[in-house]
Parts: sequence; C-alpha cells; structure tokens
Amino acid sequence: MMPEDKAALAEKPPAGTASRRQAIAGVGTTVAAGMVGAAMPASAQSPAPLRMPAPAPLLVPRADLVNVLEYEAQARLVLGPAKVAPILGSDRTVTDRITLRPRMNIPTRDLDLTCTLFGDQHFTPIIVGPMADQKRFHSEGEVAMARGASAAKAAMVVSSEASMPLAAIAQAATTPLWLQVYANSPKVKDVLAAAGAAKAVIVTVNATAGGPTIPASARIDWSAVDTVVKGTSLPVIVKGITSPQDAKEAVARGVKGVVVSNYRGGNAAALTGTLLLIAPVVQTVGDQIPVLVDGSFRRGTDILKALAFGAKGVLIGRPVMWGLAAYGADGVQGVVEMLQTELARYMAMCGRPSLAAVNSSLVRVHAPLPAASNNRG
Amino acid sequence: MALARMAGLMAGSPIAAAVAQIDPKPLSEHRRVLSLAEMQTAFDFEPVFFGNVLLPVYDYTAHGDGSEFTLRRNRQAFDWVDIVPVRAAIPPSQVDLSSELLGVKMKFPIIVAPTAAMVPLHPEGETGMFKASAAASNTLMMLSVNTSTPHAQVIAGAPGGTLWAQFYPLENLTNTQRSMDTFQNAGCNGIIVTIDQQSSFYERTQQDRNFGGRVAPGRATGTTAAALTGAARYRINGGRVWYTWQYIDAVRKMVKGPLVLKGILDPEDARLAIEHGADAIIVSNHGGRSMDYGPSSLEVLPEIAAAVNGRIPILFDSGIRRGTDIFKALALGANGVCLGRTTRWGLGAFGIAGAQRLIEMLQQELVQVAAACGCAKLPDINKTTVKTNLV
Ligand SMILES: Cc1cc2nc3c(=O)[nH]c(=O)nc-3n(C[C@H](O)[C@H](O)[C@H](O)COP(=O)(O)O)c2cc1C
Repeated sequence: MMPEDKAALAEKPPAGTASRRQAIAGVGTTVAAGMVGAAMPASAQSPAPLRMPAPAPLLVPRADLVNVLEYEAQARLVLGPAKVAPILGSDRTVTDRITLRPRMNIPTRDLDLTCTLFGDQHFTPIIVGPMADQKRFHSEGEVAMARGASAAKAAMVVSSEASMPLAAIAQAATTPLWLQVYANSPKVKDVLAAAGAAKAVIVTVNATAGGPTIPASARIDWSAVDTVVKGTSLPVIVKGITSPQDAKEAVARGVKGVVVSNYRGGNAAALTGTLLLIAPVVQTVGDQIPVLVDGSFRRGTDILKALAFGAKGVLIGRPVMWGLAAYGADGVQGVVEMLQTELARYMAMCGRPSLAAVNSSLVRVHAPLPAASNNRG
Repeated sequence: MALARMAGLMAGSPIAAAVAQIDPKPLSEHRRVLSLAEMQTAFDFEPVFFGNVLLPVYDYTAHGDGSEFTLRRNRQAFDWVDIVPVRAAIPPSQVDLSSELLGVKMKFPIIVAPTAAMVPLHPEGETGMFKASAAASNTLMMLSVNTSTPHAQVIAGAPGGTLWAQFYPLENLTNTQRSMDTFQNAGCNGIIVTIDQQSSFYERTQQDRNFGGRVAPGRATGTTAAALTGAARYRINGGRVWYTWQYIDAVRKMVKGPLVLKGILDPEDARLAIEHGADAIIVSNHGGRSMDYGPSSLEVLPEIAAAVNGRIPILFDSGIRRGTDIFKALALGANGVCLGRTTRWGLGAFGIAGAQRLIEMLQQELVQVAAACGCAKLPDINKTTVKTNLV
C-alpha cells in the first residue's frame, strides 16, 4: 500500500461515525453542525439563517471509552461549556509524584477487593461521593446516580442538597446509602429525621453549601459536629479533615470515620490531590476509625495509592458526574466499574491479592519532576 | 504530495505527541522520508518506520499500559543520571567492550529484546531480525514466543548466530514441557521467562480500534454473571494472574541451558529469582507496556544491583534509545542491555539492513561515550562514571 493510501485510510473515518479521535476531542459537534451549513464558507451560505434544531452531540459509544478521564470530554459535549464548568478538572500533580512497586509471582486469581465499612460489606472500597443538585447535569439526577452506583455494586452518598426526594433515591438503590449534610446547615434536623434507610451520616466541615470558599485556616465548628453525633444513632463520619489534629478531635467527639478531603465548596478544579495527606491521619487515628479520602481520584492506580497510604475507602466525585451527564445511569456504572477493574488490575500486577496485602511498601513518593528537559538530542 | 500529506497527518496526530517525547527533530519539520544513509540516531528510524507500517502495527509497537506514565518515565529517568568523565578520554580504537554472558561471547553488551510479531513490520520478519543481529558482530537475539516465524526457521536464517527463546508461563506443565522441547530442539539454548504484563491494557492502542486496534477483553459492562468469583468479578482476565515461584522451579528443571527471568523491578524479587535458580534476570518494565505508574527500570536498577551483588548477571531494558543510555545502565549495575522498540524501528524502516545499522549505531555510540570517559573495558564503566539524581 502506498503511503497516500494509508494517509487516506487514517484520515477518513468509517461512514456515519465521528472518528474516535475527533469525537474525543469534541470535534463531533462541528461535524454535525456542518450538516446544516455552519461550516460552509460564508459565500455558500444562504442569507436567511437556517432554522433547524441544534443537532444532538455526537457522543463516543460508551463502551469505546478507555479511561475515566475520557468521560469528561463527553460530559462537556452534552452540557456545553457553562453547565459543565462546576464538574471540570482533575489534579494529576500529586499522583504523578507517586510510583508503585510491583512484586512478581504472587498469584492473584482469587483477587478480593471486598471490605467492611460501618457494618456493611462492600464489593470494593470505591464509593460514589456526595454532590449537590445532580439534576443540573442529568434530568434524572440522583435517581439515575443511585441506579448506576447500584448496578456497579457501589455504595452512594446522598447530598443534603439533592435535587430529588430521598425516598425516590432510596428506591432506586440496592447498595448502602450514606447521607451527607453540611455542619451548621439548617437542614441537619430534617436530614437526620429522614435518615431511616441510610447506613451512615457524613457531616462536611469547613465548608458552606455552594457558598464562598472558606479559608483553610478556618476552625472546624465542633459543636455542630456534636449536634449531629447526638442527633443520630447512625455512625457519623466527618468529611473535610486535612490534619491529624482534626482527626484526633473527631475521634474524641465520638465520630466513627473521617474523610480526608480539601473540598470546601466553590471551585473543585483549583484543588490539589489529597494522596499525601492520608498517611499522617492514618498514623494518628487509623487504628481507631476508618480513614476515607476524596479529591481527584481518576484512575485505579490513584485509588491503589490511597489504599497503600492506609485509606479504607475512596469517594469518587466529578468522574461519576461526567458519566451521569453523558450517559445517565449507564455512565455512572461505566465509570465506577472502570475504576473497580483498574484497581483490581493493578492490585493483580503488583502482587496484592487482597486489600490486607496493600500497604505502604507498595508506594514511593518522589520529588516533583523538574520541568521537562530535552536531553534527547 | 503524498509525502506532504503524510507529514501533515503525522504532525496533527496524537502519535506526534508520543513521538515528541523522544524525538529531537519534531516530525512537523520533516519534509521527506530520510534514507538509510541519512540515519544519524535511533530516533531517525521511527518516522520512517511509521510511514512504512499500518497504523495498528505502529500503535502496537509505540504504546504502553494505561496513561503511559511508565513509558514516559523510562525516558525521563535517563535525564536524571549524568555521565561524569573521571578519566582522560582515549581513542575509540582502544575500547574493547567484549564479555561473556552465560557462555555466549559478546562483542558488545547489547542484545535484541524479544518483541512479538515481526512479519507485520517487514516481510523478512524474525528471520530478518536474526540475520541483522548476527551480522552486527554476532549480537545475541531473544525470540518472542509470539513470533510470526517458527523458531527452527528463524535459527536457520543465520547459522553461527545465537538465538534464545522467550516465553510466557503456561499453567499446564505438560504444555510448558512441550514448548521447552520445541525451543531447545530448535537450538535455542537460553530460555527467558517473562513474568510481568499479567493484566495490561493499552489505552492508546484501543483508541485506534476504528483502524483495527485491539479491543481489551472484559471491558464491556452490564453483563455480570452472578457466579463469578475472584479476579473475574472485577472483569479482569485471569489468564496470567496465577504465576508462582513454584512454577519457576518446575521450569528450571526443564531448561538445560541458561534460565533468565524477565520483568524484575524489586530487589527482593531479584533475590528470590536467584533462590529459584535463575541464571540471570532482566530488570525490565516491558518498555512501559506492563504497568502504568510503575518505576522506570533505571531507577530501580541500583538497588537491585546491590541486592544481587554480582551473584548472577543483570540485564536491563526499557527506554534505551542511544549509547549514553546504555552507558548509564551499565554504570548503574547492568551487565548488558536489551533493545526492544529501536530494533523494530530498524527492521520496519529499512529491513535487514536497517536493523543491522540500528544495532551497530548503538554499539558505536556506546564505544564513543566509553572512549570519551576513558573506559577501555566494561568494568571501567561503573558507579564512579555517573552521578545519579534519581527523584
Ligand atoms: C511491540 C513489542 C512487543 C513485545 N513483545 C514482547 C514479548 O512477546 N515478550 C516479551 O518478553 N517482551 C516483549 N516486549 C518487551 C521487550 O522485550 C522489551 O522489554 C522492551 O521492548 C524494552 O523496552 P524498549 O522498547 O524501550 O527498548 C515487547 C515490546 C514491544 C515494543
């Protein structure tokens, strides 16, 4: 075959589909718009604007996506730049400083990722995290999220700012639900009253519901945490812990778990990953309560690193929203299953057949990479 | 016209990004395909190779597991090691880097790594590669078990050359014995058992499935059978996740010649390899094809060399593109290095002559840097000749 034949082959997608590369790059919409003349030269267009409905975005078939980050572009296609903004972004700088140390010839065919958290058995330590007002991103909001999480056998945390009634969400779920509420929120009483079917309550500290960002130095209002602990018989988990001192205080207040998280409302895209905050917290309270974590978990390797630092569970935020926005419940299931499979794959390749075998010997932390040199010439 | 179009395609594609990490001359500046006589570095072969083979074949050669963090890190790690000339330079003619590796006389500490399916690269395939390596100062070649040419046929291609056989563990010991018989009867004396790449997934290759790329098994969702257990529950293929050291013991008994374990990245595994009868190990992350977010092979080499402490030879691969890279690996404890992708570029770009030229180019580059550092013999290339800033 001559090179030009090859070039033609590579340039021309199979009839009727966007090429994968175009669609992933978001070129799909331009291709579709071309059908109504938008991409034609001005001289060739009729003077009267065509009145045709905007074509539906051309999404990559979900089964073709190869990693979780690819869902983000699909969500952008569906939602458009303004609506997608709150769920964009990922920090890779911290995870890129951490490598895994695989061990060979350790059989992992009986791989087991199950774990127990707050009395429930979980299929894997991957949990769908709390995010407010999910109807912003999909017409079926939290109900579709619950359906997708359940299909992937993952627990889900329901935000007190949910856009759908808890009863409807609970009906869609077959996996444990945890409820999340902001400390100091006027809704605390209502949430606890409705907590019936939930398995735990997460109280988010150092944050306001959708409000302005609170400085990291702001003190946690522990009396608000006390109110939640006293107001429920469910295990209470404090989310928003970044230091061992705060974790210790949480334990002293009767809290049954913490989520290491630096999200304080506002723009999540500006935050760095939390992987390096885990170990100090685990060293301080890890033998008393489970330490969970969230913040920029995008790959199974990211999750495996968190577990190696001692985390017992990882909450997934933006990626499941990408899945929800682009493909509804199927997308949520797809994102969660992809992360489960990746976690399993890397546990297998590292010779870690169970979560008990995942420990700090698996990870090395490196200095930030120097700016790319060009020692190639 | 065709060439210009091809250059444009290459410049605009994500492949250019993958290539840019190693290419001192951006593809976008190429205006014509270079000839064999114009090859100045190993990097020059890659765009020619790209132009000659089908895209899925190129992708299969180029890519690595997951996000390709490990693939990139393999190259970056060579930047973290500086060569320090501690002795006065000597003329290249005074450099003799010959050695003996498990009974094989080597003029240079350079080996052709086992890489699969070479006929899609060039009609001469594995036989051509073996002819090229034999012509390049009798360079030892390791033949992949996934060869597109039978072992006996390859070995007949270059009488007097040395061919060893690589294979992946087969759970069934009878099948294992049968494979060993085939390799050893064909004349492959050394056997390489590759113990990594148990569950790898090339995302970037998958992206080209419209053009015939591979589709990963177990990625489909929504069809979860109720009775699945173990690894299968998490949709991973269990075919290669059973490996044990006991299996290595069994293979050891079947192999009459040297047994080499490929894919060691941990000092403790190096010790275990010796304990279980390996005659050599290859410190390798499969050229970034086994596991994303693993270490570069180079950064773990010093600790492994310390653990092995000279008891068995250490071979090294992953990311080698030039003579200075080889020098650094030797200085950090390797007794020899294996070339994977570069040899495929050579064969795919210019056939047998290209593969031979590629191997000889790296041999000569190594001699040149050794001469510049005043290293007349292999043992002169050691820890004192490099400064490491591994991060
Ligand atoms: C296309 C390709 C196919 C490979 N096939 C095999 C194989 O069949 N068996 C094996 O042990 N290693 C295989 N490898 C890994 C190589 O032996 C070697 O570890 C790696 O290519 C070295 O890194 P480099 O490509 O940066 O030189 C393959 C590598 C490539 C690039």
